[in-house]
Amino acid sequence: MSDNDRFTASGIGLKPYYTREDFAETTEARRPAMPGKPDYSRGIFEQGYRSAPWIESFACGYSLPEETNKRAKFLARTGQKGFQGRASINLVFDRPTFCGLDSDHPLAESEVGNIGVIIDSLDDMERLFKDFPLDNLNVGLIVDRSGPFIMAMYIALADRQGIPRDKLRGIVTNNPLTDMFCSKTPMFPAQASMRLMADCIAFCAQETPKFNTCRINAYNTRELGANAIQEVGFNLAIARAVVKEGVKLGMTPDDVARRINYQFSQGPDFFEDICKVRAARRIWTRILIDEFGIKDHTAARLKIHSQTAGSSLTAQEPLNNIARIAIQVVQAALSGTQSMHVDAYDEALGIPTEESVRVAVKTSKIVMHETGICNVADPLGGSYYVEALTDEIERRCVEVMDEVERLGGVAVALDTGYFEQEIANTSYLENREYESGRKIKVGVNAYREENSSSFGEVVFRPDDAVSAIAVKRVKQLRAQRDQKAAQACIEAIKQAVRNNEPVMPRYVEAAKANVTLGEMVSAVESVVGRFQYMPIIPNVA
Amino acid sequence: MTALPQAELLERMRAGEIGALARIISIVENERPGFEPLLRGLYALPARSNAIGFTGPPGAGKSTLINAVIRCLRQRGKTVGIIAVDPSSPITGGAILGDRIRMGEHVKDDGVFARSLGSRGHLGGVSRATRRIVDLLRRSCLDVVIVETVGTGQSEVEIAKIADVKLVVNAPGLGDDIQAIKAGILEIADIMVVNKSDLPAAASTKRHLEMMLMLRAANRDVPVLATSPLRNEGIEALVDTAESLLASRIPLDSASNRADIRNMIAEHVANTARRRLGLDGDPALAAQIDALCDAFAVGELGMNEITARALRLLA
Amino acid sequence: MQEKPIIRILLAKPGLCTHETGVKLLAAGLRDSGMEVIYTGVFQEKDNIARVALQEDVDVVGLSYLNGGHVALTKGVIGALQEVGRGDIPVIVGGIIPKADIEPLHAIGVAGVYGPGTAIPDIAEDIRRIVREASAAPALAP
Repeated sequence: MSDNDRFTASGIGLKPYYTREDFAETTEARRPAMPGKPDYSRGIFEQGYRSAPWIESFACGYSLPEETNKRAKFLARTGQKGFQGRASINLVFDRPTFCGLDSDHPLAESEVGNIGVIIDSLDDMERLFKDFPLDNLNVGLIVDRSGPFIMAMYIALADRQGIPRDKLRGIVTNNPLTDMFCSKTPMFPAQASMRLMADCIAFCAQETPKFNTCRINAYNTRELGANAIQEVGFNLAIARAVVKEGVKLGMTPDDVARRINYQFSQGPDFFEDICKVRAARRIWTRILIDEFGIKDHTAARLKIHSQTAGSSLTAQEPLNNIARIAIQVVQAALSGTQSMHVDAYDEALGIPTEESVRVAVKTSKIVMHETGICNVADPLGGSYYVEALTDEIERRCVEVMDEVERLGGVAVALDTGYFEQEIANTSYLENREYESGRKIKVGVNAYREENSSSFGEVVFRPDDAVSAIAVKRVKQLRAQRDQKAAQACIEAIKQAVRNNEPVMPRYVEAAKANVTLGEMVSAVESVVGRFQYMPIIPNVA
Repeated sequence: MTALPQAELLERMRAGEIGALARIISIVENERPGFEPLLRGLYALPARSNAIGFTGPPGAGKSTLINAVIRCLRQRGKTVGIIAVDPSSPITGGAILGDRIRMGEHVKDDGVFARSLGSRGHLGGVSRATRRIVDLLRRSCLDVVIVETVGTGQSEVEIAKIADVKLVVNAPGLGDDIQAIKAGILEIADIMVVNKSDLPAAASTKRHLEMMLMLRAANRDVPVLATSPLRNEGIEALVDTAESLLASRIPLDSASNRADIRNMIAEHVANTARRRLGLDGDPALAAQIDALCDAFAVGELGMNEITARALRLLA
Repeated sequence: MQEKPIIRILLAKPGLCTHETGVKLLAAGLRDSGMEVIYTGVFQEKDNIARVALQEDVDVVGLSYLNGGHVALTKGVIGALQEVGRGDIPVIVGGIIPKADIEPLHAIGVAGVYGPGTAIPDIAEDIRRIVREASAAPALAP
């Protein structure tokens, strides 16, 4: 290796320049001339952003539901817009809710409302969505393993307010396969998790057909330390397993594929992070058409939510993050994303302030209106470098997917900790590059200010009273509800799980009977048990 | 913690005080000052438990299986001590230790004591310290001692010296199945385990192993048992088989194994001689040793004669 | 006898925070600097951390947080260590820690606090100092 050698962030060796000769003949032959046509590598809409710019779907959530409700209204006033001008709320729930625990669970102590909104019951959902008519809303429910339960509560809320279920739009994270090595919330064992995931997808395909009910959160993989190849390769392998699981429950591949939505990271390699998205669309389309034989090609469009990479932000000199984030928003736009979360510059320190969130929303607006990027679909298409890099990434991702199959498939890879080990090793090697100074992080290992510190100010912290209120509410709810009805609903959940019957309808009924999130999760766990995590540490030197 | 007199530490350990046991292990492992009288006091105590060794390639599900076995032993009213040995880096000496065994449900159980050790430069992963620590656990308050090593080839053979019953754990789907089992493993196995028997390929793995055993472990009757911690199948049978084998064995306790003690003595004699023959010996002795050196240098005496004289001087 | 005693460190993530990337890198980095590292994984209750520290007889306990809640949770772990008779083991804390919390952490007995981006060799050096000082300190009765 000489000093003059250059690599992408994932380690693809680069030439000093690219020419037409760098396109493989085969890929050239099947390269689509147009965006909006299979293999969709140039984007899923012919008109690009002309018909509609990306949806601004900024993660928000902290403290009591009424506090998050206020933040959502603030975002709406700042200009955040959803699909066709709908309101848009992309909700992050607090750790206990992620984990399926009620606020009064002993493990929830000192975590209630810290980094997301507290939801224990249908009453909390009602507080959360006050003044947001559900039929004019794009909602994101980022809640990891609790996805099906929170989705059931959302449907129960629509029922309570008399809003037809098929008017609901949004996305719920419902992907235990990625969660098992990324967010690592407590989880049911792999097979039960997969079945309950598919149960949610199948139910919602009927009841809430405009709702995306499985998020392939490749972003989380990247944040864990994966490179772009692993981010795409591992997650496409997982998405393929999701389709198979849905088919097992009697759905068509088209039907499952339409419910899947991807979340990608836009991180520290401008071209690689754009090209990986183009490659991902191409591979996904091919899997669905060639492998699953879907007929309606619109179902083979890979829909993307992009997030600027939280892990690229620094606690040191946080204002530098504004520059990083703006560049990443440009990347996301050039990759042809459908929706976007733009990080706030102080997000490395905690829940963002109103000021930093305002800057994030305006960053999206500036790229949307002050750069001209939205005028033409896939403006990078045909660039020698971009096309050659897309091809190379595609080749490497397919290799990664083949390796997963060779190991015995996604279930075996999860069981043996393969994904996590590979990612841990990548992240370890990457960190060494920074520690040795071969890679540069401005303000951290180079160009440091004299008095820069990695200890930031307290940006936001819910006060202790919040936790007390949440605990009191959930205890009161359990004490005052119709006990017989609640118990019957809990039993019905257990029975459905035991008999492999549809369980989503049971959750919806339980939510209406004021059964809490924690009670529903425990009911299922009492039947299927819990997945045991093993800690995995980098094993390369 | 305060430095406690050795005898009191041992007494506390026998009484079941976990802190005392943990500290004695550290003293022995690091050969800290006072470790020798401590070992003496220890070996004066009768051993009261057997050691079961678990080894096998990474990915065989050893830890999950061990957790299931511990559950079974606990249900039978036995207290369990577990020693998990992981390889230390030969360059830095650092190691990531035994985190796997922590993930089970036993961390809250007072009847289970778990300790992880680094192999600390011993190629096979089972150091002298490991043997002493197993001897130690045999004399503590625990009914059964489990030793787990990651199968790296050499460690299986070494585990044979400290475990009374050796379980070699394998599982379907570990690449080219049997190739995952290195030479030497079949020879030391008392029980061969096909773990994850819920996987479809388990039956063929089992048949394959039985065939290999027939070819390679002639004249030994090694049971091949299938286990599935996931479905809780085969665990009781495994523990039954291990217990009946233990009942028919003379414990491998170092203190009751002459060959072993002989090795320890030899090592100690060599160390003592090296120290006393060295430059910091007493002056009278040093002069005599110097004379021997000179005699050797001019070819007056051969090495055999010199050694004999040196031993007489040291006596 | 060991030339230089090998430091044994227990790393744990108390509470419900599952952001593990940093603590894993730290575990690997400390291994590379010659320490024996025991990592408990996520979702550790304070009593479990104390029990593991006791059984493994570690020289230092390191806790990692990215969720807030670090002051209360650390206080709990230190209390649990005292309860099992090992209040003498130094405790260090790393992760996203606001400036304002450094002093309160020291006040409850934390020996070292490390923010994001701290180089691992620097942390390793500091751990060596902390362990040296702790073993030199007059021993406390259990």
